[in-house]
Amino acid sequence: MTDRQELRKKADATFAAFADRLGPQGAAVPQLVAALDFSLSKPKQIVIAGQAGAPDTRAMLRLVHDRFIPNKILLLADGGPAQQQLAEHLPFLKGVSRKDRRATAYICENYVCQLPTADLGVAAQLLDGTWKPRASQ
Amino acid sequence: MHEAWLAQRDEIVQSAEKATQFLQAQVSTGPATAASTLGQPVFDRTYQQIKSSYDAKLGGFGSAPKFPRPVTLNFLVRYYARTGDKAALQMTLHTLRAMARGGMHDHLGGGFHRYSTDASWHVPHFEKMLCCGCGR
Repeated sequence: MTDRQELRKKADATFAAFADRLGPQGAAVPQLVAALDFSLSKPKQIVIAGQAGAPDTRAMLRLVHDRFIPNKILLLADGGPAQQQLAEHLPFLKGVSRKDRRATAYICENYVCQLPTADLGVAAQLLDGTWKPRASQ
Repeated sequence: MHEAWLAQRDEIVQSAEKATQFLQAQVSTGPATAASTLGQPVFDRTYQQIKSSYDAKLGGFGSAPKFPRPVTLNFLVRYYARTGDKAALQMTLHTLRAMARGGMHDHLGGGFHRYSTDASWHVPHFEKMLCCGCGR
């Protein structure tokens, strides 16, 4: 969530410690194998800037939950203390806020973010990886 | 237990030491393999192991009692997302549907009981866990 390398190292050490078991006995520890799957994927950070519980925030969240995105990290940026605290580890969160007072999605892969959008259609295409900027605009 | 502790304390301590040694031997894995060598082969082997225990007719894994493990299904849908192997998704959906139709599912109160005592999901073990079976 916070891209802290010391935690990544601890996770890798855990996988290494159980390496002998992960291969031959993976079915006995499926969640550890699932965690390995997550650790080897490029994380997709989805930050929704919005007010908790507001209809436009919920609509944006619904878009995310309608899809199976196993490598997602989903964060709500509500402008409150929790966002400030997370921003200490993840500086880009400092500048994350609603656009035109509408719930806004910041969709990032490997900690590189697309342009924020408050448009549900565009957000859906960004999530599906089908979005293409129109040349004429 | 109190009597045993007073009368056979030495034997109990000895037996506990043996158990501890056994557990330590089980857990020590020798020189650690680098995490970077782990990858697709681990996913494939885990998938084959789970697949070989799959009950294609009735859904679920292994024989009675059928004890659903959410983590197994979690792995399977991730495997499907990673590889596109439709069988991984089918196993998951068939199992969940069989569970939902069967007696393990509390059709009145919602939620799921802990496991099915039989292979065809008829008779549940009447116990619900707060962690994963409480429903609405």
